[in-house]
Amino acid sequence: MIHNLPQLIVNGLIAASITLLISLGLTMIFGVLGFINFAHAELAMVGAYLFFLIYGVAKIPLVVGLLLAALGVGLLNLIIERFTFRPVRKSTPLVPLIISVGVSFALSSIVQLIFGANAKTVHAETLSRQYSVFGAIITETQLAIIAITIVLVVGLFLFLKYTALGKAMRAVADNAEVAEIVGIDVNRTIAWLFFIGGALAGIAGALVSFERNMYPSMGLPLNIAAFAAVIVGGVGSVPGAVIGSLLNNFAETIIIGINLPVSWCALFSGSPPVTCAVSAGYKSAIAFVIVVLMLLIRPRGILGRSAEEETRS
Amino acid sequence: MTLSKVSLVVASLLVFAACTSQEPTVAPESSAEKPAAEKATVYKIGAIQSLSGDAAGYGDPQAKAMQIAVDEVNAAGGVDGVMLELVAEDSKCDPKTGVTALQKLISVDNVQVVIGGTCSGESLAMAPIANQNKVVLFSASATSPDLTEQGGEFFFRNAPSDTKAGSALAARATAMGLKRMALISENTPFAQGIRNVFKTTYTAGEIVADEVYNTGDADFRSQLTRIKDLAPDGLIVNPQTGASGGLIAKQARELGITVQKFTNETMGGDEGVKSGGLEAMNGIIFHQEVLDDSNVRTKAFVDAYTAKYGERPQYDMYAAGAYDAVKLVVNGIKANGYTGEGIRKYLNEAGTYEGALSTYSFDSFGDSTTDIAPRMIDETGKNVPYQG
Repeated sequence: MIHNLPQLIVNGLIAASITLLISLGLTMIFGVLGFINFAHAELAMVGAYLFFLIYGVAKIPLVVGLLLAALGVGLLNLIIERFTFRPVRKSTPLVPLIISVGVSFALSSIVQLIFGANAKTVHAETLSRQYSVFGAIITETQLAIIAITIVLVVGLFLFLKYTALGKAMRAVADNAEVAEIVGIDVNRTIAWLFFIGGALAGIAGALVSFERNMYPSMGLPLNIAAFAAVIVGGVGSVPGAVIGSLLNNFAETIIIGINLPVSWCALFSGSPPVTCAVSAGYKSAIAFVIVVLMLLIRPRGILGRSAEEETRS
Repeated sequence: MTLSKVSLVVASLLVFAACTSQEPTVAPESSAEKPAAEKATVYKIGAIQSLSGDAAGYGDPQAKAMQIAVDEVNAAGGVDGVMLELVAEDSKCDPKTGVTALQKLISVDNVQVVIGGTCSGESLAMAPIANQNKVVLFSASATSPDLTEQGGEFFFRNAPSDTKAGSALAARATAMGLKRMALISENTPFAQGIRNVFKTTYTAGEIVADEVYNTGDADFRSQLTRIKDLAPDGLIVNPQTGASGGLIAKQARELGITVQKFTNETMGGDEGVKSGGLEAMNGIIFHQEVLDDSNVRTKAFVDAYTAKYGERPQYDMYAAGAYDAVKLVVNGIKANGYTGEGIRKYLNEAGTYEGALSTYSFDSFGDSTTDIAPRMIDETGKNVPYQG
């Protein structure tokens, strides 16, 4: 029953990597500005198409392509912040939230206008070798996705903990007004926040394009997965996003991927079927069951701060 | 918030609700009656194809092929001097969008005939409305077996029902001696049609896995890992579009599933190979209607299309079917006038039609006698005849 577990763990890691890179920006922006940015995963979509242009069409080397996609999407997010979210920063969080919905529609429509609605693919011919780890098969592409994610997440932790800018971000997240009083340039800090969040999403998109097809509408499912991970991990918490992404994706891949004893299904259907398993049709429901359970048991998420802690700090 | 602002918000919400309401309202009866207006200046042919979204690969060439047919008819002086006009709508392979488009064509444009939809799902949703309004709905690519019964008397198609493709898959697997079949199907009426036919006609062994996934899913590794664990000797990849099917083939290959793969006609275009890669797609077997390029009518259509759009149509059988549909409808108008009832009557009594798609006739359910042939993807990614 569980001898395919190593493969399922590898599958979960690949899926979690993509979700994680998107949920990081989502949770950081919430931590600082207090709203869920529904346009965030659309940035990954833009990143995928940018990478398609740079690497797939212009044939610029892979690493340069990834960096350019990150840079491009980071800059795009900077512009979006400057012209849409900054003017309404002092209003209730509902206003930027609605704006973000509009921005997400605009981004996917613009991409559809330019590239058309058909699926696009990037083929990484250089990254197709396969390895076997404890019986699990993993391709070089997938190893690269997981490795890049680990490097970026560790880098982000160190950045937030040790650099002046990272500390400034945490200060603004704690209390923007006080941060301003002690001399932190809040506008600049938030601009950097959007740049970094955008760059991470851009890389996520570029990595997705190796693994999957690109569509102008691919952002929404990515956003939903990232959103679920952020709620489970604790809204606003970066380590929470890591835990939420891993938990949701492992739960999904393992529950869907295991062959259950046939007698279990016989409990429901009467006669024992040929095989027994949870249908993949329920896959996206699994993350939401976790979300609902989390909201019932611990509404702040695993590492989120409660309302009391919020007011005390 | 002042009262005026509140009322403004409420008003706009009402407008929004009115715009998005999907109630299958029936167009006023009058529109169905008045059509063959005494002095028609133009005959409008409705066209509902999937022009955007995942299924645009099928719908776009169909729309282009229909334009060619309309242009040909008009260049030859129209239908007894009356010009044809194509009124095109996009259904996005989505039932709700298709229904909205059909209601618009019936009530605003007063069309008596609509060629479409591209997908089975939208066709199943549109057929009842077409029947209520006595408007002919003619699809060149909806293949769900459910349409045979549920299409009603005003629904016609020249694409073959998937009763043929599903049972051909079962016969193929049986002939190859495969005893443990795994099946992974998209949750759309088209793919479910093939799945159901296969499940009822495959009796030579066990169906060890029967997976269904939702449109838009991109990660199939969990299901495939489980399928691998069950050690099947054949895998049927049964998607709605080549893009998602290719992805399944690719992920199956990456997970080390090397058994004989089968699929449906959606994987015969470029998209499957593009998203799946040559290695994963090489040798995959499927069934579809095949154009006979040695046929003069087929060759004339393909040449006209290539001359106008610079390439052979993707899913050429759907495009040729849409081209034929326009020509058949024109014959119907010539014979019985521009009414849904007249066109329906003509199609029912037309007998054998020699078209660009093939030579076929319609049975009493509006299904065509178009046949399918076994195909495979070869090592260069081409869709070639399967010799087996």
